[in-house]
Amino acid sequence: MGGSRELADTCVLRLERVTKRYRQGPRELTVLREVDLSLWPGELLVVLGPSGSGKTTLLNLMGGLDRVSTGHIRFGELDLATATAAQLTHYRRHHVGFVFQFFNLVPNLTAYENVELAAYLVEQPLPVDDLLEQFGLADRKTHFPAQLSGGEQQRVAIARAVVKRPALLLCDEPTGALDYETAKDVLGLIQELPERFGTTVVLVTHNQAIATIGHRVIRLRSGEVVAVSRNETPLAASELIW
Amino acid sequence: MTGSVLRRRLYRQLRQQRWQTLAVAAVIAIGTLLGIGLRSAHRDLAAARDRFYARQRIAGFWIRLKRAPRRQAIAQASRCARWVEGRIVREARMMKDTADRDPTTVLAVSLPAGRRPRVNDVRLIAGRYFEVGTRPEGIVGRAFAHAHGIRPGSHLRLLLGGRVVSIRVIGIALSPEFVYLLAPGSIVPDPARYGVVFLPEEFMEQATGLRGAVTELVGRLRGNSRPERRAALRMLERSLSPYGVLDAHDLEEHASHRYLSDEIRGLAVFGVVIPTLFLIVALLVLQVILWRQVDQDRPVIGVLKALGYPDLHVAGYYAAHALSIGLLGVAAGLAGGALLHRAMIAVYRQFFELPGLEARFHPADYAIVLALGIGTAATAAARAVWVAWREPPAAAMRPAPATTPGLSRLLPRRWPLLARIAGSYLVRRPLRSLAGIAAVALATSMLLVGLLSYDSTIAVLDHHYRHVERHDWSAWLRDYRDVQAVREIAHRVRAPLAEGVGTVPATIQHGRYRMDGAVLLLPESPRLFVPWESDSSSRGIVPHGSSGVALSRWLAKKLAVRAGDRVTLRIRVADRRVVRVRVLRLVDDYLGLFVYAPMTLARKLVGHPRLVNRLLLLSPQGDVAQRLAGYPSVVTVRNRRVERAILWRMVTKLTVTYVALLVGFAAVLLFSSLLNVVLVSLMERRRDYATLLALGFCNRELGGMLAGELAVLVLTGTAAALPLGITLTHALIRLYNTDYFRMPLVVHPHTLVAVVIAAAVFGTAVWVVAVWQVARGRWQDWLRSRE
Ligand SMILES: Nc1ncnc2c1ncn2[C@@H]1O[C@H](COP(=O)(O)OP(=O)(O)O)[C@@H](O)[C@H]1O
Ligand SMILES: [Mg+2]
Repeated sequence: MGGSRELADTCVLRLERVTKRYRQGPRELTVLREVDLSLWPGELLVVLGPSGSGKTTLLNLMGGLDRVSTGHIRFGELDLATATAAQLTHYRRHHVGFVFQFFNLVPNLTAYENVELAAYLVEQPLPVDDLLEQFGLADRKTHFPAQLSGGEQQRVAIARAVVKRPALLLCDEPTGALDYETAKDVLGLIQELPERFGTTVVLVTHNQAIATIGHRVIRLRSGEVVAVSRNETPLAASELIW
Repeated sequence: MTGSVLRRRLYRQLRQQRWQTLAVAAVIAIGTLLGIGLRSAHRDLAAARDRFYARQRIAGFWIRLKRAPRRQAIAQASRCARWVEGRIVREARMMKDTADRDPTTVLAVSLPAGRRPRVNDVRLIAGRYFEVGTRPEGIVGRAFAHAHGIRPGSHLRLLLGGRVVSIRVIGIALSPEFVYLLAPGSIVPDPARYGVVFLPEEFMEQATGLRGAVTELVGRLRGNSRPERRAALRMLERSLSPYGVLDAHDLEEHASHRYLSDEIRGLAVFGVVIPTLFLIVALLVLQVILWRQVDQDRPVIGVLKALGYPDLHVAGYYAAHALSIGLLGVAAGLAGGALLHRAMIAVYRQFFELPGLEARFHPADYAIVLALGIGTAATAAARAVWVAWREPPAAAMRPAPATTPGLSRLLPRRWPLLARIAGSYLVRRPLRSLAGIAAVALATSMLLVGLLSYDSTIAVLDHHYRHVERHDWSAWLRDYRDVQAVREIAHRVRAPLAEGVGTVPATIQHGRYRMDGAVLLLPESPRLFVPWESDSSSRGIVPHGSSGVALSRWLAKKLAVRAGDRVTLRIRVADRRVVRVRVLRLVDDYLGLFVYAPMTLARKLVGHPRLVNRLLLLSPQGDVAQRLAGYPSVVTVRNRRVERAILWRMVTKLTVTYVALLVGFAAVLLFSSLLNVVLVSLMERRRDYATLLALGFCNRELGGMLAGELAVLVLTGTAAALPLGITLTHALIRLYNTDYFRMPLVVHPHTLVAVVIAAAVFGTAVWVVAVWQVARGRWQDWLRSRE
C-alpha cells in the first residue's frame, strides 16, 4: 500500500478500480469495469478500443466531466470521485484541456476568440497569438469556425486546449472527422505536445494504426482493460499508414 | 399522416419537451378558454335578453308625465305609437317593523287587472296575476322579494300617496324593463333598499288619488329605423307637453336596457380582442419552437428523404407536431371555456334579473374557436413545414450553414467574451429573437392592460364618489321644487349644509350634432357636488356672474364643441324652451351626458329662478334619512357611503374577477413565452454550453450569461410592452366607453413599476429553471456527437 502511495505522488492522475454504470430504465449497464491506470508526466497514452468500448466514458471521467460509480481518480490530493462540483470545475479549469472529435468550437466566436475563451480562465495562459502562429493559423485568426476547414478547426481546438497550460490533455478521436492527410497533420501536432508543453496527453482512438505513435497503449474492450503495452520507439505521425 | 415510427418519434419529442409543449398548449388553451367563455356568455346574455324582451313585449318608449287624463293621453300617444299603455308610477316607502338607517323605497307600478299589459308584461316566477277588482294585492320583483324574504302570501306595508296601505303579495315576477333596476341617480342595483312592486291599476288610482289619470305612458314607437322612431318620440313629447313631460326616452336610453346591453357589447368586444391577442402570442412562441426544431432536424429530414419518404410526408411531421400542441391546447381550452362560461353566467345571474339565463352549449362558437386554435397552430407550423417540404435531401444532410457570423461582427470587440457570445446568440437569428421579444412584449402588455383597466375603473369611482359627490345624503324629489322649500327641509332635518340641484332633461345641439342629455342646475359655488377635475383651482362651474355653462368633455367632443362656442339647449320639460348659451369651460365627467349650469341660469332655461329636484345634505347623523323620508315629496334617500360600498362590492365581483382572470392569464402567458424562448435557446446552444463547462467555466458564469440574455429579452420586451399596453388599453377603453359610463385612461407610475417588477420576477424564475436545466441535464453527453 505504501508503495502505491509513492507512485501516486509522482504520477499525474491515478485511476483505482474505476467502474462506471449507466442506469437505463430498470437495468444497469456497466460501461467501465474496475479500471486501474496511472498517467505519467510527459507521457502520450493511447487508449485503443472498438466503438462502444467505453473510451469516451473513460476520458470524461478523467477530465472531471462525469463521475465514477465506484473507485477513485486521484489528482494530487484531489479525489475526483468525492470532489464537489466546484472542485471539479476548478480541476477542469486549471488542469485539463479537451479536444473533441467534432471540434466543439463556439460557432459565433472567431478562431482567436475561441482560444481567448480558454485563456481567459487561467492566470498565466500561453500567448494566444504565438500559439496560433505556431499552429500555422496566423492568417486565420479572425475567421469564424464555419469559415475554417476541418483540420484548421481542430488545430484551433488544440490551441484552445493547450493555451491553459494544462497538466493533462484529453483528445477524444481528434481525427475522427478528418481526412487521411489532415488527420496525419493533426496527429503530428498532438504528438509534439508532451515535449513542447510538458503536458500528459491521452489520445483516444479506435484506429489500430494510430496507436503506434504513443508511448504506451491500453486496449479497452467492453469496458475492461485487456492489455497494456509500451512502445519503446513510437512512430512519427508522418510515417503512419492506414 | 406519418408512418408509425415517425408518430412514435413525435410522441417522444413532445414528451421530452413536455414543459415547452405544456407551456405553449397552456397559452393556446387560455386563448381558447377566453374565447369560448366570453363568446358563449355573450350569446347567452344576448339571447336571454332578446327572448325575454320578445315574450314580455318590451316597450319602445317611456314618457313620464306630471299627470294626464288617461283616455286623452293614450289617444294622443296612439297617433305616433302602438300598443300604448297608461300607468301610474310612484315611489313608495316600505314601512318596516324594525327601524333601520336607510329607508327602503319601492317603485310602485300599476298594471291592468284582469288582462295583461300590451307592453312590459311581467313574467311570474311564483303566484298569480291580478284578477279584476280593487283588492290591495301586489306582485313583487324577484330581487327585492329575495332581499326581504317576501313570498306569495306575505304582507307589505307601503307609505303610498301620503298614507299607509297594506298589501298582500300574490306573486313574484321578473320584468323586462327592470332587468337592472336602479334607484334614481344610482348606477348599481341595491335590492335591499330599492325594489319594484306592481299593483292593480284601480287600487293604485285610489291610493294615489289619481283617478282616471296616468303618470307614465309606455308603448312602441312607429317607424322602422331609430331616427324615425326618435322623431316619433319627439313628436309625442311635444304633443304631450301640456300635461307636463318630466322625462321621455326610448329603449336605447332606458337605463336597465343600457346597462345590460353595454355589458353584452363589452363581452362581444373582449370576446374577440383578448383571445386573439393570446393566440397571437401562442403563434409566435410555437413558431420559434418549430423553427428551431426543423433546424435541428435537418439531417433527419435529409435521411428520411434519402430513404424515400415523400416530401409531403416529411413536411407533415412538422404539421403534426404543431397540431398536436394545438389540439392539446384547444381541448384543454374548450373544457376550461365551458367552466368559465358557467362561472360567468352564474355571476351575471346575480346582477341581471333575466329569466332563462343559463349556460347553453353553442356549437358554432365552439367550432369557430376550435378552428382558430388549430389555425394558430397551423400558421405557426407554416414555415417549418415549408422548409421540411422544400429542402433537398443532400442539402439537409450537410451540416447547417447557420453559423455565418452575420450581425455578430457588429458587436463591440471590447465586450467580455461571454457577453459577446450571449450577444451574438441574440443577433445570429434576428427573426427568432424578434419573435421572442414580440411574444414577451405582448404578454407583458396584456398584464398591463389588466392592471390599467382596473386602475381606470377605480379612477371613475374615485372621481365620482370622492371628488364630485361630497355630500352624505341625497334625496330625490318627486317633482321640481323651489330651492327655498328644499332649504326648509334641510333646516328641519338639522343638516348643517344643504344644496339643491336641478336636473333638467334637454337636447344639446351644436351645428348639425345633437345629443340628448341633461342640464344640471347647481349653486354658483357648489360644495357638495363638484363636477370637475380635482386639480382645478376654481370652485365655480363658470366664473361668477357670467351666464354660460360648463360642458362635459365627452359631450363636447361628440358635439364638436370647444370652450367659447355656443350651443343650443332644447329643454324637454316645463315650457320646453330653446336657449342658446355659451360654453365657458369643459369638465371631466364619466357618467351621463351633462351640461353644468349655475342656478342663476334657471330663469332663462326653465322660467323659474331656482328649480330643484334633488337635495344634497352634509350630515353625519344616521337618523337624517328617516327624518327625510318623512316628507312626501322625497322619493328616495341615498347615502353616498352606502352606495359607494355597494358599488365596490359589485366592482370587486365583476371587474376584479375579470381583471384577476386577465392578469392571471397574462402572467401565465408571460411566464410561458419567456420559458419557451429560453428553453429553445438552451436546446439550441446546449452543445456550446457543454463546451464551456468542459473548458472549465462554472455554472455561475454560464448563469450570468443566461441572465444577461434574459435581461435583454425582458428589458426590450417590457420597454415595448409599456407603450403597447397603454395603447391597447386606450383602444379597449374607447371601444367600451359609452355615453352613460366611460373610463379615462389612468396610468399610475406605480402600475408601470409593478409590471416591470412582475416581468423581472418572471424573468428570474425562468432563469432559475434554465440554470437548473443546464445543471441537471447530462451535458457531458451533449458533447459526444454532432447534433
Ligand atoms: N448517458 C448514457 N446512458 C447510457 N449509456 C451510455 C451513456 N453514455 C454512453 N453509454 C454507453 O456506454 C458505452 C460506452 O460508450 P462510449 O464511452 O461513448 O464508447 P466509445 O467512446 O468507446 O465509443 C456504450 O455502449 C454507450 O451506449
Ligand atoms: Mg467515443
